[in-house]
Amino acid sequence: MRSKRIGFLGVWFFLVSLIFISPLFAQSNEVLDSIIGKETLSMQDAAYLVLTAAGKLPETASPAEAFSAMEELKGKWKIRIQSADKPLTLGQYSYILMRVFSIPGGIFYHIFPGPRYAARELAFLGIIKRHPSPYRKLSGSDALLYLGNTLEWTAGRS
Amino acid sequence: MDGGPVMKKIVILSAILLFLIFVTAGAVDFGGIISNETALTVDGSADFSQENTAKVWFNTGTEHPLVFYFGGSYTFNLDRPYLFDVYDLRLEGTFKRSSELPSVFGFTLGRYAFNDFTYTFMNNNVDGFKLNFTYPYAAVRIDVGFTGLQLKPVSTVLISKLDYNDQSIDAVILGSKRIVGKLETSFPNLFQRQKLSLALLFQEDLRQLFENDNTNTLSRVIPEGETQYTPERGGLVDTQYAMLGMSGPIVQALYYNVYGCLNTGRVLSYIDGAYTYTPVLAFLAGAELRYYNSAILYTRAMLQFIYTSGDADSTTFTEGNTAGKANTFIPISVIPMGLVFTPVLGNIFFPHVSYSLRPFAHAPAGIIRSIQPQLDAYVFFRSTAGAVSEGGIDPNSDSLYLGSEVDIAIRFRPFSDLGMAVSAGGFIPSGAFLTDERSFRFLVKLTANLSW
Repeated sequence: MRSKRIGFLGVWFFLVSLIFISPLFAQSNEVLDSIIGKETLSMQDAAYLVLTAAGKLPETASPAEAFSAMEELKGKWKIRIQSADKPLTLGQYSYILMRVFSIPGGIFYHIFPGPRYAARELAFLGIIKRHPSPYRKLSGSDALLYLGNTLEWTAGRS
Repeated sequence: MDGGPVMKKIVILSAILLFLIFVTAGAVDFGGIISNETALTVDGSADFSQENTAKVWFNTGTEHPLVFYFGGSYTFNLDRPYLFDVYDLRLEGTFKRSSELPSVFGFTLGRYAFNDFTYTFMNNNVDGFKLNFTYPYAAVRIDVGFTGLQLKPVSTVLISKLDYNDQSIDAVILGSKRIVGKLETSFPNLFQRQKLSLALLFQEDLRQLFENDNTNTLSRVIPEGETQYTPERGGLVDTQYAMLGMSGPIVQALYYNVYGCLNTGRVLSYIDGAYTYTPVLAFLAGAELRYYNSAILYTRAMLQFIYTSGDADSTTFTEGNTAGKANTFIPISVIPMGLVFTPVLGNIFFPHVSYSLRPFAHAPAGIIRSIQPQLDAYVFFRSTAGAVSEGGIDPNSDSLYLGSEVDIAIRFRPFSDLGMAVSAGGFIPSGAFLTDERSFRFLVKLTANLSW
């Protein structure tokens, strides 16, 4: 329970810090608001959410900068990068989360690393609780929810 | 394919339907499971069994209001080299309404799981339809289905003597032919998160509708009024159930569940030299206390007690009534209660204690965190000196105590897609059994499953 509190507080700190600490975070707040309101998440938005939450990028980075950073890191994480605006599937977002946060997967994930078994793994871990089909599109609010669950899970693991 | 012409047509039609849905639905989620079960049973003599099952499933995306599900399996064991089955074939719709009631309307059409809300006397697939209505403070569910399209080896519906006779007749391919129905209402948050459940269920035996000149004698219904006693045969068994249940938290981490069921109906009885349908009046009562605390190594503990009425003048468990009303509780599904000694509900009562934990839940090596040992203990009694579902009881014994069982299981899921378990159990029969049946019985079982 303590580890869940730490993870939950971590997400809130991340969000609150974006809103209150510096006027520069007004842009981050607007970026978050725009992502949360989207019905489908793009690769650019996913890169922004995940890389800033993982501390790979400062919060002041823009989604375009985050997308460029993801393109540079794609070789390291073996992530297939689509165009910045193309909608992401749940499987693709799950795969990014697993790679960035170093979440170990199951047997089939190790044999066939990719979106399908990444979504399966996150559903098994309870990070994705409903509609775990790896081929469905992902909304911005869902993406933020799964990111928060991932941060909570990694906090509990450490 | 162990299914005959009827099943072949069903599979072909299903495949066409699936193709159409695949083409029109867009995103499809799919997967499969391979599992193995290996068991050694010692009950006087040793018996080894092994069963391998491969399942495939798909759905058209659970995020859509309308979803099509399919699940098929192939099973191999040493007694039956092939068994193909369709265990899931349904169209499911869920529609949320923002300003009208019911707030959620849902339906299911096809093959789906039908159960009583306690999962103690009915849990089997049916082919039919289900309607769900969700209101702010209540949920209503209506189910109607037919059990006779399932393959005999996978059907758990065994109620009458003729159902049991069909098990040994090769010409009978499909399971017991019954229509089942349910009307269930629940109030999920009556007060302080307490849930009240009420249900009416029925099952009607449709066997006679399918009788013809080619029907095996052992599958034929004895007509009412018949004077010749033929204990190996029987008649129709129709039953109804009225259920009431209450469940919810008592304090944090401690939950309770209490329920009762009144069972009515009719069974064929041989009374005063002739067969006649006599009414059924029986009941079931159960209570459970469950404790779960993830902070204490994911400890789970349960204390359960189930009582089912019996009939002291019953000579056989099924249709054995010989006087007055039939008072033995009649379950619809065969749901075994233990691991070694597996009586079906009816003239049985027992306390059951269960405890499990994950002792390595916080270990540095993540792969061992899922190891979960579990201990179960049962003490079995019969409610009257009448017959129970298990054989070997001394007909001259008045003892109600049948025996005690202890089971141990260790479950291990090292990866999300690989699970294993080893189970072992031992049953000590009481003096109620015949002398030859009183030896210690034990079972060891290994199971493994891999999903993709």
